[in-house]
Amino acid sequence: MTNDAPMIRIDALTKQFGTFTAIDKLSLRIERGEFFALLGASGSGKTTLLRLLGGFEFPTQGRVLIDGQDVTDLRPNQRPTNTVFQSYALFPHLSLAENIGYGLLNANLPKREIAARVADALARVRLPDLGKRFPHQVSGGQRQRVALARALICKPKVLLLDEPLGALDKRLREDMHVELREIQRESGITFVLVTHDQEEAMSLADRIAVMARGTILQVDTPRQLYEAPRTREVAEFISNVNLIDGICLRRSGSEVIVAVQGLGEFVANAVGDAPVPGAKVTLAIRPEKLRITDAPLAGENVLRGRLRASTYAGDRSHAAVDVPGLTRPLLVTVPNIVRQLTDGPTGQTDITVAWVPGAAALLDA
Amino acid sequence: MKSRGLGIYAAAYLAFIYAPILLLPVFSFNDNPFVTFPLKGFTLDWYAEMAANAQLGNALRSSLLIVVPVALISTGLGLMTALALGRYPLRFKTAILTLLMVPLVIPTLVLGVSLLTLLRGVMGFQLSLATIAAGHILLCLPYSVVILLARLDGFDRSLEEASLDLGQSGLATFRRITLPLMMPAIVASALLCSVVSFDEFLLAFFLSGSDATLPLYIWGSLRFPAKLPSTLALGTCLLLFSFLVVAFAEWVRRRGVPGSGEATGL
Repeated sequence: MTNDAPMIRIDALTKQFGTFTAIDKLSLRIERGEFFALLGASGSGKTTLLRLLGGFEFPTQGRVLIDGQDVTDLRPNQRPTNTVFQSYALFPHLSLAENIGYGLLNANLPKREIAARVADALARVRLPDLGKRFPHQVSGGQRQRVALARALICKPKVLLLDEPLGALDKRLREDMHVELREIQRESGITFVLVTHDQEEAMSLADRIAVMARGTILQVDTPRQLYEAPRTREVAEFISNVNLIDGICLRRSGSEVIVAVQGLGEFVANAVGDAPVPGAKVTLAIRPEKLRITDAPLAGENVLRGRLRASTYAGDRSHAAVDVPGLTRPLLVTVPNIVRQLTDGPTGQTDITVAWVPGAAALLDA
Repeated sequence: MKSRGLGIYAAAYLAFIYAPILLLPVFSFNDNPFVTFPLKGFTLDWYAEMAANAQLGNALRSSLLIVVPVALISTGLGLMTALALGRYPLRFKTAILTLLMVPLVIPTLVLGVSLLTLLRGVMGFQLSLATIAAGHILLCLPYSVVILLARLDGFDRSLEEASLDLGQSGLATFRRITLPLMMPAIVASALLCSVVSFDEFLLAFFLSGSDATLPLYIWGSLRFPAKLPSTLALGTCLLLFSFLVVAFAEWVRRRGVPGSGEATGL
């Protein structure tokens, strides 16, 4: 077994509940020391996949290997994985210290060694004095950290996290993001995180698998998923996006000219495989890559429309621009570079929206 | 005042429920062998008579000999049933649960006759305290299952998964996690089964041999007017005892498991 074998290998995994297929012939590799996120809407199969990794469900077909060992038929207590549950699942009748030490009960360690390790774990999650408290006596954020410490004390090869931050408020969640990343880097343990929150996945994970209908739509780095989604579904799931359907007219160098019926021609930069002339393509443009301007620059793509609505969001405003010929309004994120004490007038005609060729990703129709 | 009518209604309501019960202690201290107003004077004679009554002592002993095993066996069987229904991927769960609840709705009279036929006629058992206990277990099992299942459904299943995840076997998980968390419901079930069995008359009537349980003794002694006052004294003691049991059950339930959220069960 070499060290470049993946930490987790999932081969053609299928899980059916009755007639419902939760996971559909899914294959995936997760590398050693990776912070990996399974991202999807509810019902996409991401939690089922995590439970299959933890041994809480058994697959209908396919295999799971962890660190080269076939664990497909192993129970949770026989696997080199530990889990941070969505509800934390702290044992209510045990103190925080007893909760954290629970995983060491079978290790045949002297009591002093266990106490030392528990104290160490409590210090690492910055709760050094709370060992004697019970779960209901501490806050949600503290419970979350205890759950993390409890799962890490057995030094698993893989840590599974099931929407661990879902119950925390936004501020606390962002603090925990930093802490989670630090713990992951220091421990070198492979983390697999399930979340429906694309921002969370983007800020935590090295790589993200976007899931839907029990399959993986795309596995990539956060940057690739955001800037170069491969399908409309992925583009739309990862944050807001404007999609404009057209046909590839011709190519010149890295530039692809796309004709959109009723709206004219637009220039986009192709990365990798460029579409062949005549192929249906979709321009995918993130709202922050569009700008509203009176004076488009040379070489910019331009659309004209009418401002339908504008929503103020502090550092930026979200504008929706109706463009004749497009079924959905264009979403434009406008940075508020001067103070916006009032909303501008809506219904204004002749708004010009412009973007540079490098702003648009090209999707296969 | 707006609430005055409601207050009167509430007082009448409480009086309707509790007045008959409260007559029991009142007459148990009344210095008159006949249960009539006006009250004559205060006496503890009836309590002394009750304490000196050997038959009553035997009946109490018989009842306790039944109650303790009935409470333990019903709760034990109930726990296994609840675990099977609540944790095991079992088919026909609803049907099984419905069948288990049937003794609650079958008239006890019918149950008594059929058990008598079965135990003595078909199986040839001698009627004894054991046959009464068997009948009572049948009667108590639905209560036990309902209480325990409610508690099992009331706590997060991922607690057990977490224990497995942290290296404990299924059996160790049951001992370290499931059982402690079920304990309030187990106590509640044992207490309720005790009360049901202690108080039960019809089945005991059909299935008793030579030994009478306390309800059977009370029923028998009511035929002799002279014994009535000491029966009232006994009733008062039982009343006090059941208040204590209910208070204890409630205390256990409220104490429950810290932070496990809403405690369920009785």
